[in-house]
Amino acid sequence: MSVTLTREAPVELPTHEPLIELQGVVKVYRTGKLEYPALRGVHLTIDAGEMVAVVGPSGSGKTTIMNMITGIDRPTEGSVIVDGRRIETLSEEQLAVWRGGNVGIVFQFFQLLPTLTAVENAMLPLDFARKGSKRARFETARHNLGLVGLGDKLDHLPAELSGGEQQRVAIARALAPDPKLIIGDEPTGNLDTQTAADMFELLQHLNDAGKTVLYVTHDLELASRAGRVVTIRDGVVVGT
Amino acid sequence: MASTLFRKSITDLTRRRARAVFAVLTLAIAVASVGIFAAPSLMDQAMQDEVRASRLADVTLQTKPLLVTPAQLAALGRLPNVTGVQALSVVQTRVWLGERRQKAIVVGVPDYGRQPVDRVSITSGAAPRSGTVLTDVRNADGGRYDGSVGDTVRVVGVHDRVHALRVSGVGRNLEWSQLGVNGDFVVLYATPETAAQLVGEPGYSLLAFRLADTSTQTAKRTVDDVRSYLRAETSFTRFSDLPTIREPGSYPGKELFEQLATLMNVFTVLALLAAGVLVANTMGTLIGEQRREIGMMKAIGGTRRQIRRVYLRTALLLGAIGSVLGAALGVVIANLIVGFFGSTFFAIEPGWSVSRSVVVASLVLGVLGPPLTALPAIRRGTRIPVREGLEEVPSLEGGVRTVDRLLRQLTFLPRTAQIGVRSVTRRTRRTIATVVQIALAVGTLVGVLALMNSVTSTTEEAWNQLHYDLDLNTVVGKQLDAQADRLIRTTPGVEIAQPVLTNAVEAEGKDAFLWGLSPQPMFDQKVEQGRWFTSAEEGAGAPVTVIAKNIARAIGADVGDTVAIRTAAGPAELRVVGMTGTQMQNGLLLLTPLSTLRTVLDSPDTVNGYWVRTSSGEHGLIDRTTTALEDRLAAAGYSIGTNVRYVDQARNVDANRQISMAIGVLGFLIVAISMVGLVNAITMNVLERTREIGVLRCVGARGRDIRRIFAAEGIVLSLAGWLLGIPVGYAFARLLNWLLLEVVKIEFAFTFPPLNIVIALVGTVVLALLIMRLPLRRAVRFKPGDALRYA
Repeated sequence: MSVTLTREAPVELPTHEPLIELQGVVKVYRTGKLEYPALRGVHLTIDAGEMVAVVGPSGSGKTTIMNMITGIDRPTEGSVIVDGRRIETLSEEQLAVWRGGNVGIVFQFFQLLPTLTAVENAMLPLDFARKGSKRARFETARHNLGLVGLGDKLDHLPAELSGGEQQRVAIARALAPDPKLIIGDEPTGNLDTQTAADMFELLQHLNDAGKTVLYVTHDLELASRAGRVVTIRDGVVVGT
Repeated sequence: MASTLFRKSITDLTRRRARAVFAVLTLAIAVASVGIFAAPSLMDQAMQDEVRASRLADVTLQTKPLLVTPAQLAALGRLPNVTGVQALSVVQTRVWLGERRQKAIVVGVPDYGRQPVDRVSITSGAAPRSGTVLTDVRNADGGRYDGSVGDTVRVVGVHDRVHALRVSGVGRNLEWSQLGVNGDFVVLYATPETAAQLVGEPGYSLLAFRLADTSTQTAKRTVDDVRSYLRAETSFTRFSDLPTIREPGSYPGKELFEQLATLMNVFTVLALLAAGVLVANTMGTLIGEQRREIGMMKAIGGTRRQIRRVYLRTALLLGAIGSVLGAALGVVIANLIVGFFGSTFFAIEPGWSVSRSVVVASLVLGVLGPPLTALPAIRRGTRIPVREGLEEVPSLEGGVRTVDRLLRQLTFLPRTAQIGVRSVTRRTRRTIATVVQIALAVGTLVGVLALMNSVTSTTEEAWNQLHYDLDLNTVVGKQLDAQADRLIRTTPGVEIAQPVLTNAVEAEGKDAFLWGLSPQPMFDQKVEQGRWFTSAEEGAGAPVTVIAKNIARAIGADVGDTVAIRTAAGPAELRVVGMTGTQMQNGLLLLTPLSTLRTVLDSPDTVNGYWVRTSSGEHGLIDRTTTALEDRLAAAGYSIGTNVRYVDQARNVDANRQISMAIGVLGFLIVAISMVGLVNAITMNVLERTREIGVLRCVGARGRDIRRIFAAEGIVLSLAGWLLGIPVGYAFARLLNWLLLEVVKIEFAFTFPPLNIVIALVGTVVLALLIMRLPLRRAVRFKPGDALRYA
């Protein structure tokens, strides 16, 4: 089922291929004898620079779509093209490298490494990509932490930070490779209202700076603040 | 609720199959270590079976060649307490093997079809007749003689005449096979007629008896009866050596085996300790993972007691499966140990058997061990507040303590190594348990290496005390008299020849050896207390002795005491004037002037040995001189044996190395159990941090990055275990040295070479990297999606 893009506010659209394109994506999870079709043929395109909220009831396939786009899971059928690459054809090693350099992921439960400081967590993708000197990576991480308002907490461990601060570190980590695409899976789900609002402003700011932001949320109010809302139900896109 | 909880105990295992399988295998290995306890009793059982099958003699008497008629033998068999008698002709000689001569013993057995005592069993071929021999099944060991049926062996007889004897078959005897291995003899079995041809005179030189009552007192009375009969009916005057009375239940090498068994038990205790830590660690981890489920059960009304029962049942189930596997594995291990010791030290091939008591103990320990060791973890888990237990947020533990701050300073390491190193402190209990296990492994390795060094250096030192190149000895046949003395001293290559008289004795009831030495013997006396003999004492044949420390300790003798001895010629008393630290004859040695022992043994004109130094220490000259001495003495009618020091020294060092290797094999078992602990820890860490692995993959970590993280963690655990293992190893080495002194009655000089510490370090790291491959491969194989969904 194809979806026509509509825009609430006029923006300058690049006249090139979409950044993300899902073509007839099916995903069936098999556990033992059970088969669970999480996605039943999804067609979706997202242009560069968009801010898109993905909503739907629990079990509708929201997180699965995100996993398809980030290569965390592979489609059972169909293709996933991100920034011109068919990522379902990449090996696990290639996907890991691609993610580290092209996608920033923000998880609901932050998923910081507890024994690394804020700046070390924030520079981790650059360490794995072996990008630049240690000094350069440190500076990038420090800059990103400054962007998210944690410039004075570089040496703090996650256990010494609040939930909101941890999520900011996670965002700083996602920014490390200067990715075109930032993906958030319930990025504010574990935060109080005020902190969630602050977090969303941060994401908005990143989108304004030109990054494509895609996030899953249960919060309809937060969803309404996105440039576009994609609704998923029972594994299919039912509306935007 | 009850039946649901019961089902949960089972499904907890089936739900995480990999983890359950790993836990069961770990438990099985731990339980299998109990099986080692069975090895000594199984070995003893196998030897007792062998003793019965071979009708091992209870009393053995040696004489000069003695003519005994069948009627007289039958009469000996009817003496009170005698149930069987066998007369043998034993010849100590040499065989030509190509260009060299090898020491040999030829045992003449009257009737292979009827052997009431000390049976020689024919394993292949046919019984020997006149002119043919059986070769002992162990002759090929150590390259002594590998002839087979149909081959011809050239045996040197009296007057240096060479007898070409055809090998008719292969035989085995408990006593002689062992003697061949220990004494480096080629053992051949022949007829008495063949033996008589070799020695130049007919007659039996060994009488072997089986008794109804094998108690020592009764056996001694039987020996007196035999002596009386022989004096009355034959040309017998006296036995050529002290009668050998086998203690009830003993067998050749039993003392050695009991000593090894004691050492084995030490290792078994260590293995059990390592296994106990392993089981506790495994159960602690399994229960620790159940935190959220425990919180959930408490939230919906489960009492602590109900929840405890769930996990105790799971632990019981794990234990039941693990104990069955482990008991079976323990049987295998015990039988492999028995097979190894049986063939290495006793030349027997024991069949497989099972020690029921040890199997039962394994099963009981295996079933009860896991629940008992899980109790602390279950107790901790059920005391966690519900809110805390239900928290979804991944654990943030680790990172805030002093040790964590110190580890964060290691910024010079690559990031992957930093993550791995810092992860070590995230699960403190597991880390400590793993480090303790590795320390046990390292300590065992270092202790065993130190023991092997001690044994080798003490053995070398003992041999270096001797300043002669070869010794001659005669046990049966003509003793060495003035004519022999002349022949020996005039043989080309001989620089110095010293007569020696040696005898097996009892000192205050303990078996020992008494050497009568010439003045200024070619032997480092190592007198540590008192003094050596004076010239006056040597000249006068004074009843004095310098006693070795080991036998002195055993009989409670000190300088100035008088020691009662029993020799082949009767009792005597010697006054202790000095104490020596020599380990010759395992330190069970009394030294006395030659003149003194001549008087005691009533042997004024003859001796039974010579120490000879050649004009150069070159091995070729020593060999040629040895051959020349053997030829000249044999030609003159003397049946002698020779021991070449450099050959015996190499053989002794090699034999000690075998014992060290046996100890090393046992030590390796502990290392294996302990290293399973490391695999356990890394595997559990990988499983526990599955989601984290998924996140790492999401931020760009490649397979090798994941491997390096956990490898770094494993290496830090290994290094910590190595550091702790050094003092453990030192203490263990001291313990082994003390055990050897107390049990084996041998004092080995304690050494603890620093090189062993380096070997242990290299070994630990290499072994750790090797055994971690499986869990690391598992870590890399997780797909990010599956990893993030892992619960």
